[in-house]
Parts: sequence; C-alpha cells; structure tokens
Amino acid sequence: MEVLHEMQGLDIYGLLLIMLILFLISSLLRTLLERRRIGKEEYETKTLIKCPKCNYSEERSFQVGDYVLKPEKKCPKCGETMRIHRIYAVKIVPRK
Amino acid sequence: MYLWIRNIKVHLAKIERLAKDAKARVIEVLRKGGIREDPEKFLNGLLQFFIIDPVRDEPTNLMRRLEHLLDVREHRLKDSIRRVLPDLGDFARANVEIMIEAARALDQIYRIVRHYLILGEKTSNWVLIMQLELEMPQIVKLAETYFKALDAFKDGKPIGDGIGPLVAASLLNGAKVKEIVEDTVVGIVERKGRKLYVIKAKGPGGTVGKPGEALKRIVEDELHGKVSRIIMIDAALKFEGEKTGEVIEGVGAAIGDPGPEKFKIESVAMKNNIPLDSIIIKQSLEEAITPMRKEISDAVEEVIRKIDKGLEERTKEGDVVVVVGVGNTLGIAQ
Repeated sequence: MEVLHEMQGLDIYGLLLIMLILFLISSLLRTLLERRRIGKEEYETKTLIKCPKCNYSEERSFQVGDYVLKPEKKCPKCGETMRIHRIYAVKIVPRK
Repeated sequence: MYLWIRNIKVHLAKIERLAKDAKARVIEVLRKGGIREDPEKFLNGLLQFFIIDPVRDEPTNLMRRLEHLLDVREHRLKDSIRRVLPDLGDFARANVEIMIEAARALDQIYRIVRHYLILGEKTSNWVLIMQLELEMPQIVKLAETYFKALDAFKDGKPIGDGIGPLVAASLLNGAKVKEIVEDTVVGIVERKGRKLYVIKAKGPGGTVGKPGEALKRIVEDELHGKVSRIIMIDAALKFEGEKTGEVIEGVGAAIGDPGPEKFKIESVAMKNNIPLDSIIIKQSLEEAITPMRKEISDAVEEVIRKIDKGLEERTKEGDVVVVVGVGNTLGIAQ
C-alpha cells in the first residue's frame, strides 16, 4: 500500500511539474511573439506639399533637404509656388 | 546573482553596439562634411565633455550662474564644430551638434551601466546587481530611442519635440521675422483683431534657441510690459496608456530646459503681472526625439483652435499677446 501511495504521489508531482513546464514554455512563446510584433512596427517619413492659395496638396516620400515651409514646385491647379506644409512619420502597415 | 550578471552583460553588449554604431554614424557625417582633423579623435574629445553644476547650497544668482555655464558649454561645442567643419552651413552644423549630443547620451548610458555592473561584481553587492537587472529593459529602451533619433537628426527630419515651433511657424505663415536673440526669432501677426508676437527657435537647423531671453526682451524692452497674455506651446511627456497628440491646456511656463529659460519666463510674467497660459501636446520620450508622428503633426490645428478660443475668451480686440513655440525646430523653418 505504501508503495502505491508513493507512486500516486510521484504521479501528482510529475503532473504538476509537466503543467508548470508547459506554462513556462507557453509564456516564453507568448513573450517572444509579442516582442516580434512590437519589433516589426516601422515608420516611413512623408512630406506634405500644399498650395497656400488653392489648398491643393500632394504627399510624397521625405527627401533629404526637405523642411517645413520650404518652397517647392508650382501648383498644377493655380500656378502658385507650393510649400512644404508638414513632414510626419506614418506607420507602415505590413502586407499579410 | 550569476544569472542576473549574465543577463546584464547581454544587455550591456547591446548598448555597447548601439553606442559604437552611433559613433560610427557621427564619424561618417563628419567625414562627409569635410572635417579638417581626425574625426574619431575629435568625437572622442566631445563624448566625455562635462559640465560641473554650480553650487546649489548658496542660491544667490543660481540661475544666472547655471545659464552662464550652459552658454559656455554651448559656445565651446559650436566653436569646435565650426573650427573643424568651416565649409558646412549653419543648419547642417546644428544637425551635427545634436547628433553628437545623441551619441554622447548613448556613450554615457553605456559607461554608467558598465560602472555599476563592475562595481556590483567586485563587491558582490547583489542588491546593486538586482536593481540593475530590474532596470535593464528600460535602460535598453532608452538607448534604442537615442539611437533611433540619430536618423532624424542626420536627415533633418522634424521630431516630436518640434510641435511647439511647428505651431509657431503655422501662425507666422511666412510673415517677416527677426533674430531677437541667438538662434531665436520673433514675428508679428494679426489674429482675431489681436497683435501676436510669435517666438520660435531659428530653423530649420536643430536648435531650441533661447525663448526665455527672447520673451524677456520683447516684453520688457519692446513692449514695456504692455502684454495681455503669454501663451506657451510645448511637447510634454505622456503617461503610459495616454493618447499621443492629445492637446491639453494649463497655466505656467511650459518648457523643459535645465532652469534658466523657465526662470526668466516666470520672472517676466510675475514682474509685469501677465497671465501665463500653456498648451501641451502629449507624447512619449521616444516620440519626442524621433521623426514627428502624424498624430502629433495633426495636433497643430487643434492647438491653433485653442489659441483662438483663448484669445476670444481671455483677451479683447487690440490687445498684444506673446505666443512662444517651445522645442527643437529641426526641419522646421519660419
């Protein structure tokens, strides 16, 4: 009877140990997946050019040398000199 | 304790790599700018350049003493960059200056963490090691943030902290400005029948200017105290969980300088009995020193709406109001 009790005790502890190990592995995997998700967050800088007269605007990728209020090309609608209105970073949405 | 030490060493290696990469990037920019001496030697000389805090036990003239030391430090840095990079324009030089500051911050983080790790190991101080181990994720995040900021500084992209100058530039809308103090400009515009003196750092190079000194000169020397209100606009650190780009109003001097500029603004407002309003735009530290997120840039219109509302509710037509856009004007002209 004592041997049987010992065997049952071992089984319970063994089961608890396996459950603990499984819990730790799943936690580790969740953390790694979360880190990978956060790490993938990337941004792209965009430049918004706007016409001060007719408010026509265009968005393009940032180019070195751009700055807010820099005069740019002529407005295709009214011919006024357009200026850089804003420069901002937008999140890149990963393709699924 | 062994596991903690091992983990700290792994993180420290990462910080060291970031610090070395940052240094390499600055050296590359110095080379491209046509540096006239060994760039590595030049940079090493600036990385550990220090400033000794003035005596605080004797508060007499503390702010003036601190301002003097900060001015000396800034001029020393500017002069040494001008000396080795004479062919580079003012704005490009200002960008090199803030790149060096970011590389310096990374180098300092690395040296401080290494110091505490070695000290903890030497003295078998497990409390010190445990504290360091618990702080490591935040320290690594801070180091990564400074490293990410380098790209924005190199290319001259506006950063989140530039929201104050961006609002000021939007208010000025190309109006004529004059440089009232070093690296700080002021322009006059009419809005809602009020006369607005708009102050911002001189862009598009990376500088914060001297908004406190500029405000003092305008209010005391030009307007002889006849100002109805001062409105300050600045980026402010948000709490975790708060929305980026949220616009909040309050009172007081919204400026995060070491003290002298804030002290001047408070003194001028108090001496001339001028109400001091503040509008802040919330963001995290990472968002403040990396390229300006769209949510922050979109806050400009909301800030201007709040300024207009404040003008209508708290001032009357014909009044003179000073608006100060505080922050780094990198990538933002006037």
